Amino acid sequence: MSESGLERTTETRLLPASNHPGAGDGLLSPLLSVERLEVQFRAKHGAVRAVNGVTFQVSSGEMLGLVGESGSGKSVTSLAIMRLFPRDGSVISMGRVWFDGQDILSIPEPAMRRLRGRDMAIVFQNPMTSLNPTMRVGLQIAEILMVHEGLGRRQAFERSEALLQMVGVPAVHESLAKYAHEFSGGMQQRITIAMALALQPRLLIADEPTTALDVTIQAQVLDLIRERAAETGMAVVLITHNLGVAAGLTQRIAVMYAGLLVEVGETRSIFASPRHPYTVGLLGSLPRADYHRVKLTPIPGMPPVQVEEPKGCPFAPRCARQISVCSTETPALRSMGRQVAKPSRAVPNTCSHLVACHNPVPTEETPLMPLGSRRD
Amino acid sequence: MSGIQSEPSGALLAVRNLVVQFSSTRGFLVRRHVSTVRAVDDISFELQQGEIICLVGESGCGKTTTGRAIVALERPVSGSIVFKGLELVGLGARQSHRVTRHIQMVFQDPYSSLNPRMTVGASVAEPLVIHRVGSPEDRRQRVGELLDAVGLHPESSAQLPHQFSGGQRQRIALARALALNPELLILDEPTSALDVSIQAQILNLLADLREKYSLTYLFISHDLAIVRWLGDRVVVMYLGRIMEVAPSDDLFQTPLHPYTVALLSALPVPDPTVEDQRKRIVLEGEVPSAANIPVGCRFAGRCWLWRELGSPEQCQEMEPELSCVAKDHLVACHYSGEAAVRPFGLDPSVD
Ligand SMILES: Nc1ncnc2c1ncn2[C@@H]1O[C@H](COP(=O)(O)OP(=O)(O)OP(=O)(O)O)[C@@H](O)[C@H]1O
Ligand SMILES: Nc1ncnc2c1ncn2[C@@H]1O[C@H](COP(=O)(O)OP(=O)(O)O)[C@@H](O)[C@H]1O
Ligand code: SF4
Ligand code: SF4
Ligand SMILES: [Mg+2]
Ligand SMILES: [Mg+2]
Repeated sequence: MSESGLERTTETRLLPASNHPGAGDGLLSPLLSVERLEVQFRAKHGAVRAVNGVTFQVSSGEMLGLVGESGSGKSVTSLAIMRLFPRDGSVISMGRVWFDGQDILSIPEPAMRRLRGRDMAIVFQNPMTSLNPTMRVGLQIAEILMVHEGLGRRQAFERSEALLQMVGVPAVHESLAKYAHEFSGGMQQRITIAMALALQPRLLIADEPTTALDVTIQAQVLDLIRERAAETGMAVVLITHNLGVAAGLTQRIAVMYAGLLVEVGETRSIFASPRHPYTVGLLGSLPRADYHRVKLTPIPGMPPVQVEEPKGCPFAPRCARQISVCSTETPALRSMGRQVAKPSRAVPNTCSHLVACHNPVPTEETPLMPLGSRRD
Repeated sequence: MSGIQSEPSGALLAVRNLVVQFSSTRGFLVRRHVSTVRAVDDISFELQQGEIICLVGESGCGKTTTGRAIVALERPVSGSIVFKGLELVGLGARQSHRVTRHIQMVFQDPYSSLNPRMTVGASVAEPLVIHRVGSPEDRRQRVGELLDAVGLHPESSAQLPHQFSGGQRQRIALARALALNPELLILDEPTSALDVSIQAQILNLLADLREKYSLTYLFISHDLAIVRWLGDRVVVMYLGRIMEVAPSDDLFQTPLHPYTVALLSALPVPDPTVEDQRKRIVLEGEVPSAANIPVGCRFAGRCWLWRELGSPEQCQEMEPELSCVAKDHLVACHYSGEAAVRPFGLDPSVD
């Protein structure tokens, strides 16, 4: 039964250990390339693992969805990419993170700070993470422009006003003088997006940007991110646990479980023919508003409380397709070949469908009904 | 409110003309009355035995307050709440205690709903202790069953809440609410903090329990996908008022209120094909403050239909009554017939 999947499998090393990712495969060199990223937290009794060797690329103009359940390492991955961990040795990041040819994990802090402001930006789930409660909103945005672009006060405030206008904050002039808490959650998130976009970054990491927002406001904020990305060509890593959001916005999806990527592929391919049992389980878990009372098939058990050192497949305790090799060998991401003939959205990067599984779900067992064909 | 009060009989719970207000005061020394928030503004609905009714709407629209009023955690300004023929509004503490055994509520915030100094086992057993159910040994066994039912290891019993994730804490709260085998469970966004795989387990569990014990749920949620999956009937609230009530199938197939239409269209569907073909109505602006409810139709400021119809004055002058427009289908909109003909975007075959 495993053969149906493995026959077509071609072993590919994802990235040669070169210092120039993407070079040589005749593809556009990705803007961001994460190679075998590992993150560990120093704890009293040894190290706590959060990310166990994650590899993916994002190209300019692309929106990649990073999905997975709580604790799977999505946020830690994004913090490592932004290098936002304390530099006191309490957090250890290993592997390589290439951004535009520079190895982010090893450049000196001042250079990183410049990069972080100007070229890479992050938006968090809770807008108050990025907003200073004691500083007027206008000054917070203006300060970024004064520090990074050397703008004068007057100019910086004018630009701040334009930025707030762009993200749809009403009564812009008055809003500049307000404090963050005087805005609703949706407006606060717009303001953090304005701050993140102030220096026209080439990469935006949005970590659950709409999870705390109502559905109508969520739609507004996602529209805003989509619009800005389309207009500026910035790359976006959209972290979300909402597969619906990922379905609507992204070109590619990377599914994370217990600190590892288990499946990466075109969005359509992931939804139409998910191959990793975990991805299949996630999709089977979703109540859908357009499928009435199709019985949910949840994944048994629960996600691991703590990420373990990879020894065998981390999903094995919950997996119905487990075979003997699963408990001894950690499966590597392998190409399942390209499964969608005609992508409807431009997919600029390498398009193969990668799965880390010894016994992937055969395409004919894909659990979903033909896409969009059924309604009660 | 024509259609609602027609059947005063059989309902397990009947809420009538419920109004809940909060007065916010400002100032440190002299507490000066500033404004009154009408969190729940004259709502009526009924729950039949064994039914799952879903209360949906954006945050702040009064869902939680409605639930809290039913379990006597808020004191209504006016209106009535009748549970099995017994009027709950104005009930004395002792009687109230006896009734709450049959109505349990699970709250949306898993961080504050559990006593941080109580072990999980003690928290789950507490309702049993308070209501003097079973021997200590019976209780221990019941706690084990309950933890198992919500997907927790029975060994978690000895641990403290802070050792659990938000999702696990919500499962503990659910176990606690189920302890007394209540008749009516008010579930306030009980899965909003859970991972999707665990959410699916809990949803299946809730569906199974309902079947098994013919439980009745008032399920509060802003997630329409869950509502569609779980609900028999749906009540859509906006700014303290009910906009639409309909059986789940009707509401999702033919939503008649422009607000419901917009909510459904904003809902992301985990299917790229559907997503690429859908039309969306992105509502502009935000929900107005409950301290400052607009006159006329309270949705008018954000209503796409109102704009499409050329901003008719009627909407700004007269508050639409919740009235019956089809079988079991109640809508509060002057132009509900117009909204019905618009595709709401979940069906890709509709253009
Ligand atoms: N500062 C820290 N110290 C120790 N462990 C941590 C720290 N931050 C995160 N972790 C652990 O790292 C793992 C991954 O956490 P992370 O925040 O990346 O998850 P996530 O995928 O973003 O989850 P969520 O969906 O809940 O946001 C978890 O097991 C978490 O407990
Ligand atoms: N204890 C309180 N004091 C003052 N205002 C409150 C209180 N609880 C709720 N409100 C207000 O009542 C309205 C409804 O709140 P709530 O019922 O919590 O909404 P929902 O559960 O639908 O998100 C909101 O405007 C909210 O700010
Ligand atoms: S490697 Fe084995 S245990 Fe892991 S997901 Fe695949 S089949 Fe299941
Ligand atoms: S009454 Fe008028 S403003 Fe209100 S929902 Fe209907 S059309 Fe819109
Ligand atoms: Mg996170
Ligand atoms: Mg609430």
